[in-house]
Amino acid sequence: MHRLAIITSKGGTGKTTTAINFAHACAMMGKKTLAVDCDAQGSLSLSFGLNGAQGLSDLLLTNRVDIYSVRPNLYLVGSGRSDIYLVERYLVQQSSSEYPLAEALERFEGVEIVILDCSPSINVVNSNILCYADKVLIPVSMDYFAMEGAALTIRIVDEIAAATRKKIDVLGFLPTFYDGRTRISKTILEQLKGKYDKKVFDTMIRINTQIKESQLHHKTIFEFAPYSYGAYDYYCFAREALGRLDGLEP
Amino acid sequence: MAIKKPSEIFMSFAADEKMLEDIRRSVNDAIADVNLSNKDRNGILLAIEEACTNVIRHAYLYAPGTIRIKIRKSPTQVSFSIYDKGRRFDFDRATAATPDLDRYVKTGRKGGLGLYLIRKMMDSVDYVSRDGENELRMAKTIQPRVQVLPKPQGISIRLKFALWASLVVCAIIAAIFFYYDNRSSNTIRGRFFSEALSFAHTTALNAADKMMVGNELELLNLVASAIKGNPILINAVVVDTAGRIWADAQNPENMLTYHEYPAGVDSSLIDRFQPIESDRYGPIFHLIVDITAGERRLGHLNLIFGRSELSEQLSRSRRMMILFSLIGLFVGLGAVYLLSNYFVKPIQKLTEGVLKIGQGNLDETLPVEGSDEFSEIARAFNEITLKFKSAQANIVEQERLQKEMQVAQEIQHALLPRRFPEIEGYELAAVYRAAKDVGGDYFDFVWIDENTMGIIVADVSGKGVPGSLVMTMIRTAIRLEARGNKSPSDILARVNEFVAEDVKKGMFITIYFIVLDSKERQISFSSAGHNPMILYRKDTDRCYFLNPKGIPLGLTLPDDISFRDSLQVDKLKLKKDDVLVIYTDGVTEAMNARNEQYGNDRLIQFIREHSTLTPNEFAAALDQDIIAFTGNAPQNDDITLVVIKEKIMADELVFEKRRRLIQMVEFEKVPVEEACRQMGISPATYYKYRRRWKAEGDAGLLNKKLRADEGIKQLSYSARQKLLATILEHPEYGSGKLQKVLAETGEECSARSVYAELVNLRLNSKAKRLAYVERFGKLKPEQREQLEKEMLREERARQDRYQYAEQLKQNLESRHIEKMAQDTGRIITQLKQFAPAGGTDIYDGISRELEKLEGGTEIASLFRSLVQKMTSGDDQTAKSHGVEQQDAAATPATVSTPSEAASQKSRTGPITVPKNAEKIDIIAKAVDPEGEVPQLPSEFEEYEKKLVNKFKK
Repeated sequence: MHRLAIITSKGGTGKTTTAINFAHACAMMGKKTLAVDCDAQGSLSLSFGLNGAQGLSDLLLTNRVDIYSVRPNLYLVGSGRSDIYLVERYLVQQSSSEYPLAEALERFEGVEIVILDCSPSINVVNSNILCYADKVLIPVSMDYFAMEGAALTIRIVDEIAAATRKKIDVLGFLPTFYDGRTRISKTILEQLKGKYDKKVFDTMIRINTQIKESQLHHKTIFEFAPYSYGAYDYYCFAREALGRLDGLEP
Repeated sequence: MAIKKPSEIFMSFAADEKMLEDIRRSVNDAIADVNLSNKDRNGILLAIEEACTNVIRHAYLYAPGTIRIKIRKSPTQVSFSIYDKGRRFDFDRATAATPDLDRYVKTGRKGGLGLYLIRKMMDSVDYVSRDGENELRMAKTIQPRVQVLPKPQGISIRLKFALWASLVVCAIIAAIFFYYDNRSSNTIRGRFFSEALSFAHTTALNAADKMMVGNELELLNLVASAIKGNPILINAVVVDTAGRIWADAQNPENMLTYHEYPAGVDSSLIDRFQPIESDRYGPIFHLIVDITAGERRLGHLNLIFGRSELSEQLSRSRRMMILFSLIGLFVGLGAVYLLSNYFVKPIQKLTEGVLKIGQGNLDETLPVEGSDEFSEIARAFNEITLKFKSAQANIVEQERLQKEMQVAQEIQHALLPRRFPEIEGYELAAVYRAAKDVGGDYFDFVWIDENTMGIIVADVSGKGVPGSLVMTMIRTAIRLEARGNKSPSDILARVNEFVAEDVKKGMFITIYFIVLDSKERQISFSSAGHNPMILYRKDTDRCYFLNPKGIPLGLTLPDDISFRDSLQVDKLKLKKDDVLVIYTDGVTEAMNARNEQYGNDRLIQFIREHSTLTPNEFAAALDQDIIAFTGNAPQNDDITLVVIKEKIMADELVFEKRRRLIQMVEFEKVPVEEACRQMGISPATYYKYRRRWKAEGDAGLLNKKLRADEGIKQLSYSARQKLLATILEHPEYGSGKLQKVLAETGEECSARSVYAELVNLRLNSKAKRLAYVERFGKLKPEQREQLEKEMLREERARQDRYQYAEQLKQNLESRHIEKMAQDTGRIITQLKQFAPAGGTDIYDGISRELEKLEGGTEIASLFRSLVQKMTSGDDQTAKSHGVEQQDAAATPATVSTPSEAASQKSRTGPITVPKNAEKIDIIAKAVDPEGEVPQLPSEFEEYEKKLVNKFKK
């Protein structure tokens, strides 16, 4: 079972969008997929029409959770009704356990890939997730701050990996919001490749309005505009990403 | 002037109305040095006079006697005591009645108002009658008076300025006057003399011509015309060298007589004006000029000039000077006045403003004009005033806040029980020490019924007024719900319902609720997320942390998780001298200056060392110990401690009671009904005991349900520490072996309790234990291998479970219950070979897998009952888990209610996958995609082809 955290400290780089579409692509390609919404805003849950449903925070508080089957092969755990950050703090106070959320996540089993959609920050919840995850995917939108954010995130991932004595692989950097018409996109992509070389995915997600429209309609891009180049980009990305995961090659 | 130390003055007077004036004067003298306003002073004198009058009239009834007055002065108050030995009067009744002033005014009645007046004038009045002597005590508080700054005495700055400036102006003008006066008089003089001299020389030249010719008449003409032509010339006389007069203008008849110089004229002085007083001409200048012809001296000319002309000129010029000087002086003084106004006015304004502010009018602002130093001062002063004002406002605000805090504290203190109720067989004590701010701790005792008491210790996450209000709410709710309800979890659940809506978000309350049943000698307790309670067992000298599961009150929970279900109830019996300590985190988290916490270890140590004290002493000593530990460090959180000590052996008490009952009925022949009523039990119960007594003798009366001497389920504190240490050493040890290790070190515990503790710590499998060791970084290389192997084994076991579950489910779907039973049997035999020790884990795992399947709950329960049937009577390890519920009911020491079992299960228990099928349908419908959307992997291939084709172009 692969545990893939989609994480970066910079907001608005397309974490949730990537989580939605990558999860659906995996599911469509026949991989049993579990998407976990670790962001207190619950954007991922919302995009699958789960509004105010129970989820991760309820799991922490009560030891049980409903897992929703949202598409064939695709399962979803929402973020829950309480603020997961508060709940986490409370539990750390109450018990001897240092990483209760990571322990709770350990209980999910029976799927091929777990995709964790993180919040854009560096906090306890994300530390927990990094304790649990064994791979991270870092979406980088084509601007300078996003690149700096990616560097910071890598540093934190390394710190946590060192602290917990486990290996966390960087699955790769996914260039998002790529706009071929602008010079900045090209420059940033060049710099990114110069810095991280092979770790940058060959596929890049180009700017595509239909992706945003699909969120408005609570659909994935494959459902909303199956033949758009947004769908194609995510399809190609899914193939490339799965190719990097042992036992899940398409 | 203020009095530094209290001083006393005694005086004594005869009781006579004539003495009143004397008394008044003496008292006035005595309080002369007290800082009182005139109004107060007169009030005091009036009050004393009234009091003395009353003594003379009513106490002595005009009979002779003495009045003694004691005056005591202190900086804050002055008090008077008036002693007499007359009749006493009913002070209380007299003061109770407030006189109807209107009536007095209307009737014009005088007198009778004495006491009223005294009370009006004085701040406190008291009357004591002792040993035949009456004392009227009165006191007046001295109001600290704001001293108004005295007006500055002496010369004001303006006057000073004017004086000095005028002096300077006068000096300057005087100097100028003298200088110019001197100069002008010199000029006038010079001009006068030079004109006269040149006139004299001209005349002398003319005269020389005439003399050489020898024409006397011509000469006379000349001098006569000279006198006429020059108004200041009075006389001119020409004299030859022989001294004969040739011509005399005024006295022509003197011609050829010898000339005589008037007195005071030095004839040898030529060309000099000699001032003399002439008898004939008054004040004159006498001038002698030589008359020469070439080198030859012919004679000399005597000229007499009037001096009055010169002095007149001089005085005229001086008058002018004086006039100008005066004008200058006036102008100068006027300028001084204006200047003084110009410069001193701002200072005066400033002074006035500052004085006003000084008198307390802080709203006053000083006018700021221009940008010189005065306005600078004014601005600075305004700023100071403003700052002072805001500082004052700040102080007021702070005082208000402090008051609010105080109110909150008062509320809270009012809530805390003032005395500890007495309950048979238990001794109670409590300590509450508030932190500086109002803390959120609270404890209380409530009577549930006449034999049962509830003890609450709670901690609200918020401090201050909101926290104490929540406490008030909780207190009310508990008092309301606890009556007649012996289930702590039920009470807590009801209280939660009561307050859940009103508790602010982000605030939560932890509560420990203990029910002491003095009749059954049983203690049941629940905890809503509170710190564990500590049980100290006297006979084994061990401490146990009792921590029933529960969620804190006030948290927002999902609909299908109820607060009620989360609560677990544990029951307990105490033996003699056992101690229960319930506390809040303020105790263990008390910090000293080095930021060390008091901690569990110290607490446990303390309890063990001081268990022999009575609860009262114990609580006080523990509090002292914490204070000694924290030293000077400020207290951050409230400290609350409740200590319960068992006084009697519970079982003995019950036993004694039952035996007494039997004795009453059987031997003392008390009617059954009467005896039962006395002992507070029903006749049916009596007959039950009698049956047992008949069958087993006295032994039948022993309590069978709950036995205190049964081992307690939890591990003691020390045992747990040892357990963790042992696991770090030997992660491969299972619960049985761990128990043996513990037993060797003197910790008595059952394997079951060790296992329960392991489950609690989530170390109940070898893999978990190895992972725990790894976390501490103490894993040896061969253990790492083992860990990997274990994980692999667990993974395999999980797969096996899944397969079993699938199989069982198919059986059930085809209604092959028998086959299912067979399969279950097969699994069990297999498991016994496969993993004899950890077998129970696997049953649990399988039932968990079953629950995940659709409609699996049913199958899971069926499976469990099958396992139960098949393993009943099996070895102990098999018993420990899957059959917990049944087992728990039979466990005497700590009985788990079903809710506990449920929560226990859910802790280690499964993650339930879509339990509610409808839910998924609705969601699927809500996002049901329209149009051609790939739904299945098979359709996906087609879609994939199309998509790739489209973009290949």
